[in-house]
Amino acid sequence: MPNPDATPASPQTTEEEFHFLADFIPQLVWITDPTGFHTYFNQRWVDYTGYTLADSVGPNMWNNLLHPDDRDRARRVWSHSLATGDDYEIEYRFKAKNGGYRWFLGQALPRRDAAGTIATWFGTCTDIHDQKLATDKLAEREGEFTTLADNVAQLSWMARPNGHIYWYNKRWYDYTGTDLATMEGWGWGKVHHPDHVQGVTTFVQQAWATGQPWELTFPLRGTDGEYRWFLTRAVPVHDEQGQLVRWLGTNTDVTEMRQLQEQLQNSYADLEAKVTFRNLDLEHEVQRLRQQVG
Amino acid sequence: MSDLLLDVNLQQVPDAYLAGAWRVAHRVINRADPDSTLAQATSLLLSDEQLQLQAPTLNETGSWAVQRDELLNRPYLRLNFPAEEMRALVTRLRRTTDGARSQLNLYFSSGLEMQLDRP
Repeated sequence: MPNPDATPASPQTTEEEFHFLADFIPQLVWITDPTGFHTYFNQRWVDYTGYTLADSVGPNMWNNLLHPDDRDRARRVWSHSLATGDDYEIEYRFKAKNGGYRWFLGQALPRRDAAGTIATWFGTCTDIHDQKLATDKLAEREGEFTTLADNVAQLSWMARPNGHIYWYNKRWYDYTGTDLATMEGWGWGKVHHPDHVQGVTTFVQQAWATGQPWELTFPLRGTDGEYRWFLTRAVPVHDEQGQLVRWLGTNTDVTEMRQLQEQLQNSYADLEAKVTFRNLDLEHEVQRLRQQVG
Repeated sequence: MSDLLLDVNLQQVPDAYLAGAWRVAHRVINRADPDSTLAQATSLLLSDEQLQLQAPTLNETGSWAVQRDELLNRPYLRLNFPAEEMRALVTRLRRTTDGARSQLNLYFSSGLEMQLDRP
């Protein structure tokens, strides 16, 4: 709460406090006039860049300071804010006075006078180098995992503990010709065979509840309208406390394997019938003797 | 899709499905006599009860009948020629939904196997 008996701060005190604060906070702080001409840098700016206010006149400081890949973009964004009065925000790399670039988040807001005219721009540069590298690394790893997931031979998916599917790999979409909007949650029923979908639904509802790995084979419709048989395997993933956090699932095309299995079974049945047929008279005699003995 | 050949359940196949003018498409001789009339046959006509066999050097006429036995889960054909009688197990019958095309696989007791196409 402000003290009503306190003496108002003098302009000199206020400026000292501003400088103290501006040098205290971890950001690089700067002020420009409405045209973008710099009128102030805090001590952290000078310490990091090695450039003083006097160095900021002309393009040399900026050309040396900004990473070559960021110069044009930085110039465009800053020019846009100066021309429109829009808030300024950009990620770019500044060179330290001892060499080496670091990522900064540059932000600036215009201060306007009573008439609404921009009087000054107040800006800060926040060091985001470590976060940026971590984010880039994370994005790179995510990209690698996505590439892996999209290129494995199986259709793959991930589901919440209750079975709500929230991700499919590219092969799923390529095979079914669907998208996440139609498949998310329980949309998978749309590509199941009408003769099987009820049985599959009943099975998986029980399977989600058990929290145990499960397998099931059923047909899925492809983009050509034909159904192929898939062996589905689902594995529960748990956190450190043993709580089920998600399901990982794969659908492996077993159509040809089933056809081979069917052919093999037919071949056995044919062979059995052929043997019986070749020995039909003998078989009758055996049957008659069995009946007599029985 | 009417061109697609579908398997017929041999436990319930009507006799009429087996009648008609069949062309020998493939044969596997196995241990049968390769010079026998049957091994040389190019077509079989199964009409009413009459049987006509065509081979490059010989035509034979006889009779035929569909037989079933409780020990077999599929029918077999009894083919009677003047000189001999033969039996052939139906191992597979496929036909289009409209019956315009059929494919019949026979296994003779001599070991000879034939695939017949119609038309």
